[in-house]
Amino acid sequence: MIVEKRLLAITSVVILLTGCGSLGTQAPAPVEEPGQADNPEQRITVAPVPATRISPPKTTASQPPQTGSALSKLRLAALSEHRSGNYTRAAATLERALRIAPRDAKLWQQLASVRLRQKKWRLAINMAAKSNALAGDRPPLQRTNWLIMAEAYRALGQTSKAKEAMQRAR
Amino acid sequence: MLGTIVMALYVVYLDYTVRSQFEGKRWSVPARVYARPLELYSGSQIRPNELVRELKKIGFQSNSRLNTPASYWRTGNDVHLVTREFQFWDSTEPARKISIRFSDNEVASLRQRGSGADIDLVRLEPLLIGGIYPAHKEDRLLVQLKDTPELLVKTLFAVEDRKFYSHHGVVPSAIARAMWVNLKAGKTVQGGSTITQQLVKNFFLTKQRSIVRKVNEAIMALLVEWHYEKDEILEAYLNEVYLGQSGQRAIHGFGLASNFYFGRRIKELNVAQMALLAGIIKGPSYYDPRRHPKRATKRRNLVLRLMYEQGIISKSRYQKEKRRSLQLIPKPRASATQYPAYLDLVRRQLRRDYRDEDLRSEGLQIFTSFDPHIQWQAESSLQKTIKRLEKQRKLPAKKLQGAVVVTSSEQGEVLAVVGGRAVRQGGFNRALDAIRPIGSLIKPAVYLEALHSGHYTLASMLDDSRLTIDLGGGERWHPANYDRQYHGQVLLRDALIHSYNVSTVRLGLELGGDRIADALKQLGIGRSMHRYPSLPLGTAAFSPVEVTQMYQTFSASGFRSPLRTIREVLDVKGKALQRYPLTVQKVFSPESVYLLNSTLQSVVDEGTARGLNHRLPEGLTVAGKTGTTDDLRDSWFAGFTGSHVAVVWLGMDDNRAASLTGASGAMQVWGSMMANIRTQPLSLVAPADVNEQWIDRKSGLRGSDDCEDAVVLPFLAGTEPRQYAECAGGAFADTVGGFLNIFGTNE
Repeated sequence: MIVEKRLLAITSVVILLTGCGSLGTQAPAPVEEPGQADNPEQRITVAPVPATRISPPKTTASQPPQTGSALSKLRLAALSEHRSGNYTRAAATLERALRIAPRDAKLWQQLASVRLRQKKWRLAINMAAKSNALAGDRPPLQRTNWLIMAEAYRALGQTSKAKEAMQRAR
Repeated sequence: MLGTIVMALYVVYLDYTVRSQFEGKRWSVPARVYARPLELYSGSQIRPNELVRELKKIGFQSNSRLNTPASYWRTGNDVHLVTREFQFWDSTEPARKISIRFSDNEVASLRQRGSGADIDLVRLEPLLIGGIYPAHKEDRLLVQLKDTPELLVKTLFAVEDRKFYSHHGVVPSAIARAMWVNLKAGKTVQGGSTITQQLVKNFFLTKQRSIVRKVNEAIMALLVEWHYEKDEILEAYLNEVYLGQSGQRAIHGFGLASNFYFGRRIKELNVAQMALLAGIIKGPSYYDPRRHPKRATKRRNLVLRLMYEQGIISKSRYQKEKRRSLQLIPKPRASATQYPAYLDLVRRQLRRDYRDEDLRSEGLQIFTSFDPHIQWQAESSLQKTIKRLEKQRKLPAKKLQGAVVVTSSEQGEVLAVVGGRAVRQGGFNRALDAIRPIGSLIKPAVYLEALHSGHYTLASMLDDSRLTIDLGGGERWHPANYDRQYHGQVLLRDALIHSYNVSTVRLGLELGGDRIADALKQLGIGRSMHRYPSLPLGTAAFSPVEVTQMYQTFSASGFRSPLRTIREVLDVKGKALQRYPLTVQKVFSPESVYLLNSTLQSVVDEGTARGLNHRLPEGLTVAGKTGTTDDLRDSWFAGFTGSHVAVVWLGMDDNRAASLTGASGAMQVWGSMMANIRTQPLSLVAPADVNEQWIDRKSGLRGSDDCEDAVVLPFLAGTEPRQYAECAGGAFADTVGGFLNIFGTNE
């Protein structure tokens, strides 16, 4: 129960952060069944609505492309899917966004928080660490990632790692 | 009496046959494999001609009036589209009319035609890249009666069975008439079969013509009509009927035939196209519109006349339609796929979760990450470079082989696979199955393990002087450098960027074979390997796709994502069965990998791959490593940009010398491919705990820009050398530096 509450708190933080700030021979690959952990009642279809375009500045060769409106649309769609408990779909939407902006630390964080809600602890830890690796010098973003890791480690019973992560989140 | 019982039993048997076929699974429908859908948004990196090329492949037709589905029109930097509805696993992309404006090789704007409203994101229907076929090679795209145009059904009745809705399966008068005609002619010239009889014949009976078969056909037709509704029978017929041949693949049903002849969906057929399809049922080979266009046109026009005579179309429509051309698309290639190497990898990944039989029969829809543009560039770069090299170096003709694998950096999605120079032919898939020594491509794993151990930095000095290794049994080995020189004391990073062998063997001995093997395992190589002292020189053999996994892990800052081709699997009705999600696992610290990657970038700037830069567009920074094996048997290059990882191998199948180094062979293919795809420059972001420091190359000590031969190198905080080199003030600077350090001042 406590775990549940904490989970909710952290993912709420992520959702909140994303909601306001973001608009700007091998091992087999794992499998998941769509709808597995989802509530079908709450499925939200991303209807293609025309929107006001944030007009992008001209790009140069060394800059990643400006993809503002497509990205924010996907981000928001993922957010509402996440909120309505449709995690598989939220994850898929975030992956779609990551194909447009593969090094966007915020997207990786959003994905980590979806995985946390799904109790896929290891994956959540790795995704949050990935987000940190791409975050550069963005302390608030990194703090949230540490919080996600702390929570997942706690759920795994790895208390010392959880403590360490908590400390880094401060 | 006995005769009646036998007959009754026989009818019961036929009844059983009819029902089990009709109620069980009627058809084996091959799995269909799709490319990634092209996502268009303002900012997407694509040129107008690339978009047009993909649209044509999907089956879009150039049409300035833009009044048919799946049409486009290009004027300069604008491309206008009429898209078709397409059902993806998560939602249905609606049919839309769009105008796209390009500028500087990217999409500048995306608008709805008419309203002019901006559109955020459009997902185009994906290119079908292949099928997984049943043994008997029957292919079909199932259609439902409700999706079939009424006009097509009426035409079908007009040609094949005018009284379909009123008869009971057989029309005795028609049979009698046919028999009379046949008797008069002395051979079979007329059928007199109803649609039900034709269906029964195709479903249950052989092609042989005999009285017994005719009787069976009639009884079974009656049984089918007894048990099933007319519409069910009609729908089965629409899907069963044989309409053409493509190599070994038999084209069944109107759904697939629409696509096979016209590149259209059944809903999109015009009158003349419907008439042609209805016409060729009589003899798909005899009336093959591609081989016998005159004959087919005549037949089509006959059907059109029939349609007019029966009041299905007006006179003016008849006059107009019969003047149309056949409107055929070029014949699709007969093979199951144009991209056999990629499909091979898809099939292997599918077999982990699906039975082969299901893949061939359940009509699964497989959505992959295949990127047509990158595939085409990989294919043409390989083919062109191989031809050029053969000519320049006077190599034996058509012997040099190669393979290419391309993935996305951060996610490990496989975007393109080339399995050999004959890119359309299946057979030996070198990208997956050519297990060859990887030479110096292994070195980054060795150096990463060293950096990760905490005992080495990029400025550690390695010994590159002559080395003798006792292999036991009186055998000795003297590892040699490619340039046959020894280089004395060298910086660890210099040993890697110049790919020195002797110092690398020494480093390997320090680390031990187990540690190196373990690092390779962490990087995603599952194959077992030897532990000889030559391991760090890449005497272990791996496939190009295994090497790709290893470099994907480097490019993703030490986060391994298992390489994937499949995104989603849907059943025949479009219901999602499985999704293969993105996963990452941190296997090396981003800090260590940053140190490695900055060195791999220097390999291209100043090391063994410096020839690559003039093949790449200005501003496209990359990291990579060359690999060459003994006697120049294998030529390798592995590297990554900011968004793509690619591995190229060149060599001979019989393992003879290809006479190419990594730089003179594989790297040429890599460069020409990367220069022609939309990719991001590599811009490494230093993690917070990494600092940069001037280092004197000769001593590995702290230097300054005053030093003649110094480089700026990244260090994990706290691991920088403390001592100053002579050129930077030596002992004096040490003292001052120490003094400043007391006050916590950082350089």
